[in-house]
Amino acid sequence: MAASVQISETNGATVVYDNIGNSNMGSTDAHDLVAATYPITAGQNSFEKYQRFKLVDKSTSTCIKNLKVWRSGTSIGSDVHKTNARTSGYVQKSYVAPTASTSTQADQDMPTSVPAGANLGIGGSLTGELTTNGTYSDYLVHQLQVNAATVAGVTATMNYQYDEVA
Amino acid sequence: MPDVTLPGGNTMPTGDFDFDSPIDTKWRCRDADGTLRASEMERWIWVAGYNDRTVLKQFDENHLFHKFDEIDVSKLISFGMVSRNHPPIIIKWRPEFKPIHFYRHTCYNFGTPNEYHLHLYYFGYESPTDKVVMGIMPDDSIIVMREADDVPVT
Repeated sequence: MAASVQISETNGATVVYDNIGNSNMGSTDAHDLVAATYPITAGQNSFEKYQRFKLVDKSTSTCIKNLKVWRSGTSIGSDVHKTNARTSGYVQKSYVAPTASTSTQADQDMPTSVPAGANLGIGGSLTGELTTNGTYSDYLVHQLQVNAATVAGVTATMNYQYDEVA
Repeated sequence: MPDVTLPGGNTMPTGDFDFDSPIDTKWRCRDADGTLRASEMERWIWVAGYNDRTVLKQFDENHLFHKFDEIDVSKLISFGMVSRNHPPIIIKWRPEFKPIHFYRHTCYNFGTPNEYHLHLYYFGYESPTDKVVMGIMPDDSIIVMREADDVPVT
């Protein structure tokens, strides 16, 4: 019965890539990039990521909702991982071509544990629902901002969660 | 808190369910637009006991899949979850209760060799003065919470 849900990424001039395979951050605006090929220079930022949940097929379910994103893994030291995701004061972000300049869209630290409530909206609301096949959540915008004194080799991984009502 | 019947001693109607039904492996339901959809059996399913001694099961003997919003709350006297390998967990109902049931899907370590997925079952009730949510873990252990987010699962 489980609904089919994918993570989608948008790059460039609003080119949408559904069902991406990873969330690697790097020095280019591309989905499924190889981090070693596009390293981020110390003191610079990754390109922003614009990602969304996509309800591909709700199957016998009614909706998906309560979207949560967070990162886990080793400490990223003095680097920071910024996002627009938040559990209060949430504002839907429109797509703007990703930049490696310090993001104005992603301005809050990415949670490092599962949030206590939804932190990514649907239709501009943290209590929104996806009910129609082929529809998307709001954009999750995130960016890695690398400190000038960073140490190579630390990793952090992304986690995605949603609730399904059947 | 109302009576929650954990393994053993259940007397509320659950409508014994044949998880090994040989008819086929698909259950079907019809969307509002008439589309017929097939569904795979779940490891745990909800059952709603009514005051007329009938039972609505998420997956019934006619291989029909019932949606959560089909439950007639006005007739409920019990609501719970049943499984092939575990005694039923049944909540004795009160008129002011609203049932809760959803699945929580999590993808951990997305896009890495360590990526894994969890599919958890949550159910319970909410009243004007109280809320209880039970989470069924992959090993069929049960966590009882006020809110589904009270106990992060990793």
